Amino acid sequence: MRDLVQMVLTVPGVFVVVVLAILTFVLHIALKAAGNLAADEARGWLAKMSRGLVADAADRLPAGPERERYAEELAAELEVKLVERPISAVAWSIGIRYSARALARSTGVQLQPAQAARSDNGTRVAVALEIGATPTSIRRFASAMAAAVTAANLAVALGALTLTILGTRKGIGSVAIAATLTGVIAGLLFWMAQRRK
Amino acid sequence: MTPKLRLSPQMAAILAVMVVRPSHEWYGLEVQRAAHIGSGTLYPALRRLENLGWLASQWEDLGDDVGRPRRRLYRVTGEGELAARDYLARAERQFDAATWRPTPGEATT
Repeated sequence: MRDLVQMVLTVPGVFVVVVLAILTFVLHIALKAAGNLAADEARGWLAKMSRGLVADAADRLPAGPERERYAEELAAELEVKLVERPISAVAWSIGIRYSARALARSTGVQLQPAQAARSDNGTRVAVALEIGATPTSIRRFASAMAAAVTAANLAVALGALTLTILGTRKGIGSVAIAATLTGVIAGLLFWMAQRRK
Repeated sequence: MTPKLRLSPQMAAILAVMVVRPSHEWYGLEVQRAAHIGSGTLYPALRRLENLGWLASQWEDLGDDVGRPRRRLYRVTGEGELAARDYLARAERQFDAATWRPTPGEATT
């Protein structure tokens, strides 16, 4: 058996083909694992983002029973959405966040200004002032971060798409989708930051 | 006699769905899926219907070991059911009147 293997490997080109096959297999495993890891990571971030948006929407209601009610109600609904479809949960949360004003109106109370809504915001402002940050510098930093994330994500998406087309890797398809989505979201944030300037 | 109210299309859609099963207790996502409305308009619309007294809500009664947060459940009140049916019938009549076209046999001279 050993002799047979040695004989086959001495045939010109066979050795190269075998090495390439092994490398392809290893690459396939690595890409699949990376794709799964990236998908899990993306799922975690999507959940975090959704929870943040919903909490922010509830925080914009004045402190009291109305805020407590909607914080609990919306969080409960979000958990169901997250289990079923994490990406559409983000869209759902964005809708909730942008309806905070309408929700406040429907409860008959005035919407809280964003700065005053979170009880710990005072601390955040104090820390920002202490490190010498100004609203403009914070906005510039946020804008630069969003631009960098957009560029990085779109590059990953492009790379993953190329690999998908060339190698028909299933896991990479989801990486491409996740990277494109996060890239688009970061792009939107960048655009919003630019618009506020 | 129900006072003449102008409901938003979302509120009307919610009512139309909920009066089909008046004794059922609905949670927000369930209403949203059935009425095909966005998350941004759902909760304000539910709240306005609650303010009108057409819907009532209460917290879901969960056991200790369910492992998920309790939901807010909505149901149509008796008053709400009557008012909603009246409102929807009136809206349907208005729609019929607005979209009425003579059939070939009824063609006017």
